[in-house]
Amino acid sequence: MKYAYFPGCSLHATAEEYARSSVAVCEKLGIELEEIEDWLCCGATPAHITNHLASIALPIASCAWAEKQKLDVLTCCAACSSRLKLANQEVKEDPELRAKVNKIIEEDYKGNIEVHHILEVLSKKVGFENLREQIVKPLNGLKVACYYGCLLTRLPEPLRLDNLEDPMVMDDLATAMGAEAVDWPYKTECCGASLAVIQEQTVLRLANDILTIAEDSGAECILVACPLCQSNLDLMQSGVNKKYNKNFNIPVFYFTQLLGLAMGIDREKLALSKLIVNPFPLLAEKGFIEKEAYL
Amino acid sequence: MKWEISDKAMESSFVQEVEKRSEQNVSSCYQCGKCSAGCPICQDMDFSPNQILRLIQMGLKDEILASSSIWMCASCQTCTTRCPLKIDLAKIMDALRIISHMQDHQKKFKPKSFVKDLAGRTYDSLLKTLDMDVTSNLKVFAKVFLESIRQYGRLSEVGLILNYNINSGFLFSNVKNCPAFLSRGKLKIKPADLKRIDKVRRIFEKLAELEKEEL
Ligand code: SF4
Ligand code: SF4
Repeated sequence: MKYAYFPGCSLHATAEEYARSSVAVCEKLGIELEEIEDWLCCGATPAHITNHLASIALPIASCAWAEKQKLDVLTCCAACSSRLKLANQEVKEDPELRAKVNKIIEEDYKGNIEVHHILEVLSKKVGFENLREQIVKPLNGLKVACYYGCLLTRLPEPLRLDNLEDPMVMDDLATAMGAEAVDWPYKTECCGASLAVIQEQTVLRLANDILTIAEDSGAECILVACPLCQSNLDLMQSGVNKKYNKNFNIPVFYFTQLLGLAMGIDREKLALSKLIVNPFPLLAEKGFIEKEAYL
Repeated sequence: MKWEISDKAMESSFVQEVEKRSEQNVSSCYQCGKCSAGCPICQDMDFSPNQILRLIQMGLKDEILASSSIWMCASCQTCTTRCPLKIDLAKIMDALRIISHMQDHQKKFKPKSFVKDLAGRTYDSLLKTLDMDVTSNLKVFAKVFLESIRQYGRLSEVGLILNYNINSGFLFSNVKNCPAFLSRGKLKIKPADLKRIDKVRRIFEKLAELEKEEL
């Protein structure tokens, strides 16, 4: 199994732990990743809200490279995967647009490849049955709230990852790791995404709602698959506590970090210390790591 | 609030432009309000998503383009996936922002920069001014973000935040989050260094040319 790897801007910086743990998990599972040479930023929200063509051309420039290598694209960021998938779908369906985009990016992209989010690859290509065999340190007794956010699931039909309103793929994965996925109603609520930079108050309100419901549902930590979700719940948690007079201390893991832990991957590679809310006390309390490891 | 509604406005090119850009049938919306019920940002918007649709149907272009709603929308697609008529409202929001963006171009609009008159302003008074101007802030954000891609091919997060703060005058925003990031080695100061950056610049040149043609 080999993919053209599209890290995206966040995974190269603030979400470095997502990149490192994803690469480590893929390595252990024998999934080969070849990073797209000179990949470009997908354009994210600023492109699609100001210039439709830019929002197509930027992702397709990276897809074109993958097509030359005859590889499908794998990406871990929910936001990038949404932009790449939508752009790919649009040029596949519209040859006129494809020609126009090819002219802009100086390529000859034919639309012969697919874009996958890493959760899709793990669930559909590897399969949780096979994955379960790799679990050497099951996360028994850990209660997790799987948070999908908006962009991961809300795609048009052929591109869709899972059920729109009640996705289960990450919950099933958590169960495969030996953890207990709590049933909670906020798994697809939006965290406000990049509004964090401009409208912090809105994001604090949304994060407070999500953290409150997660805790009330009995979760001890949250699992995410998107750098925006992660930073809005983790980095903003102290802001939420201050504004709403709360005492949240809920670690927010990238799902690949916990999966890596359960697969017995060297902890260094999972970059757990990059998380803002310290996850080590919880992991030690549950007996997944030795207490001395973080003291 | 007083609005003038006329047949002329309803049949205006604005309604058609929104429909063409978004590829959605605006007139089919029957105002059930489901889009707004699920919208996470609705309570912070001046017009709710279904109201925006109604305003489009009535051709009230100026009211819509002056509204903060279209810039507050987080593009989460909740409305799109829940509309019983399968109206892609998120796409309509994109279309409205693009129309607004094109109009700014025509008017040679420059997002407000407060840097010049920073002197003598207290942080609090600055915050107040800026809080009221979400639209301008979001335009600045989009602009500096795309500029970072044009320059480096990728987003330089530090560059983005600094540049955004300078351009919006919101000099101290986000700074409180920086120590947490820095202590974990998360902020990369060095921007990307792509081999074929000249090609990226050409992509942006062509996009700019095409945009000009459209005006
Ligand atoms: S959900 Fe659809 S039909 Fe209902 S108000 Fe919103 S756009 Fe109109
Ligand atoms: S896409 Fe925009 S308008 Fe629609 S639900 Fe999300 S934030 Fe609200």
